[in-house]
Amino acid sequence: MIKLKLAEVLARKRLSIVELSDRSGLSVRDLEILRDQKALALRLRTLDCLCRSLSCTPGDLIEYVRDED
Amino acid sequence: MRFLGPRSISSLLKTALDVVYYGLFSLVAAVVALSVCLLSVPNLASEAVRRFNVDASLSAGSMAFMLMAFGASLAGYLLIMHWTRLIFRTLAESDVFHPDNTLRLRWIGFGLGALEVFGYLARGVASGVFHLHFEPIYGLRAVTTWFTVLVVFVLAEVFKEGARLRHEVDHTI
Repeated sequence: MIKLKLAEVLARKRLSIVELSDRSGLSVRDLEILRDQKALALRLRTLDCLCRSLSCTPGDLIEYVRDED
Repeated sequence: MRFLGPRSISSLLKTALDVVYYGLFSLVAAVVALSVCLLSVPNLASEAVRRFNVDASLSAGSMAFMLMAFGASLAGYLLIMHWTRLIFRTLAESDVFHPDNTLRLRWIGFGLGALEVFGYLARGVASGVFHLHFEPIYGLRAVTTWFTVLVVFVLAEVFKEGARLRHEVDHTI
């Protein structure tokens, strides 16, 4: 499965969801969905926005984790 | 005039359905009360026979039974009306692909089918036991309900897919 590491990146950069929302222009609700791993799909535009706001690469935000079953 | 949302055709239809629903509710209550009256006051039966020109050989109990059956079919329509009102409430709120609408549509389909079967049984019992005769239904009218049931089930599947797509869109960031 694809895991979003937004919570880890935010913790590493000592940023809150609200601050990221201000920086990126994404809504707090959408960022919470991403942080809580509830998103079913991620637009390239959103990924671009997050990478720009967090000064990171897509690889820092997304990780492939092999399912146990 | 738009179809969805507040002050739309859906909103108007929802209000109309509310009126019909409460009217039907009163009718069901009246039919049940009348059948109870027929059972408790036998003289009322002979009066009803004279007024409604029903077969005079029917006893008060038989008439009460028929009224109960009529009340049960009205209660079925009441339930269908209830689910339809709930669907129209979501339409009036512009929330077409509400996840619950699939189940509501399925219940409407089952309800329509059950009412049709109940109608066949009631006609059979009325003609076999009480010797009452009804005009037979021929042609397309005989299968209209079953086409309606089919369409409602297809619509339920469309709503299910719509609700799934809406969930996906809501979770696409």
